[in-house]
Amino acid sequence: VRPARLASFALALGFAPGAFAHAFLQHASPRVGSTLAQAPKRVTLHFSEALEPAFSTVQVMDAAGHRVDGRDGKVDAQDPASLGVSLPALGPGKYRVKWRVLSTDTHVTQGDFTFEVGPSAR
Amino acid sequence: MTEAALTLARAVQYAAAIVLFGQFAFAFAVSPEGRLPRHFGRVAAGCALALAASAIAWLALEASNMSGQPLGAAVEEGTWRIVLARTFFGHAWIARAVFFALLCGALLALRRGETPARRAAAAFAALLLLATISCAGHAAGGIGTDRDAHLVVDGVHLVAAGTWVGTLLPFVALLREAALAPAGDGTARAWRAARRFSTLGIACVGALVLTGVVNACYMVHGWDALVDSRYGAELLAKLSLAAVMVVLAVVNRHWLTPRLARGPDPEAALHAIVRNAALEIALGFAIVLIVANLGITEPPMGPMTH
Repeated sequence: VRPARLASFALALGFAPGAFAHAFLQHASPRVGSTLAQAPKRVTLHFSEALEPAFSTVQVMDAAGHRVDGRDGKVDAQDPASLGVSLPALGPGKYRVKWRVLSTDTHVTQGDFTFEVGPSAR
Repeated sequence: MTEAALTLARAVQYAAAIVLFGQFAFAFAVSPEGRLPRHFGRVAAGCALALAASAIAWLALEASNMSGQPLGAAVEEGTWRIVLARTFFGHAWIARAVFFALLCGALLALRRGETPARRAAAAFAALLLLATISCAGHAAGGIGTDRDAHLVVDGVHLVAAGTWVGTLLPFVALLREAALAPAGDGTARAWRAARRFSTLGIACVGALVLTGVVNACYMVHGWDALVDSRYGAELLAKLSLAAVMVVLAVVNRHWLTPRLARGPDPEAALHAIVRNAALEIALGFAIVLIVANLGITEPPMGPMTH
């Protein structure tokens, strides 16, 4: 075990600053409820905890409820608290992001939010 | 329904691991002769059965919880295999199954005769089974070094709690036997055991307070969060019961145990110690039930979405 890892382990023991248990959505790109001038190429969600890729999903729906994302949603290998999915070229309109994630401590959380692509986008 | 079943499966897993490990802690730290309790074979077999049954139930229930499928579908469609192969809970479950196999091997060896090496092997497997329950609770939710630290702290907390509560059972059995022995012999043996148990208890309470404070720092952010949430209410209930346990232990150590050696009325003191210790056991297992539910209850840390 490297000294740096030992040191950070000791620091973690001493200060215990984490915010664990149940993965809460901390921030998203596009931002929750935002209106964008340009259509986004991806939706990325950042949670408060590491996620289990096998049971964490994200979908993007248009105003009519049709699924529009690239169906390639996955947890970031470098950042296990981050879940993203690609998007095709979206036209103007309102879109709903629905997510259901499982944190590594076995808790399921789910939610949804909308963002809007403005009329000037294309 | 699933929450109640999950709480029950977790509680049985905790209780069985605690009772089993307590048998070894008793032999190492309390028994004046350094031997396993009289009914060890039957107790160990019961604990092993409870550990296996509750672990299988826990896996099936988690497959349902994680996937959102009904329990029957999660079992029949093999979702539990995905849980085992691709989740942290599943990997911990497999590791614990290996520890359980080691435990069974060591217990079978102990049946052929008690040797220090066989006892140490079985005790080590029981210790691992108790400590690694932390891998299936809130402590598993962090990232990187934070998660490692929280798992270790939670594991130590479990072992300290398990040592205290688990050792109480054979300790009370020993005191009851002592109460039936001729007056002088019985109280002298009870006094030796009670002194040893007190020393162990102080170490356990110290470790519990230390690791409990660190755990609380991880899980609860502020007094308001503690009193305004179901998690906080359950945690306060647990702490209240633990405080009563500590009071009973202090009474046993400072008022009643000295009377076993010096009087007055050592027999009455012995009966009072047995009564208090039995009450501590009941409170300890009530805490186990609360803790089993705390592990699946959302801690008071709201979303910070933007």
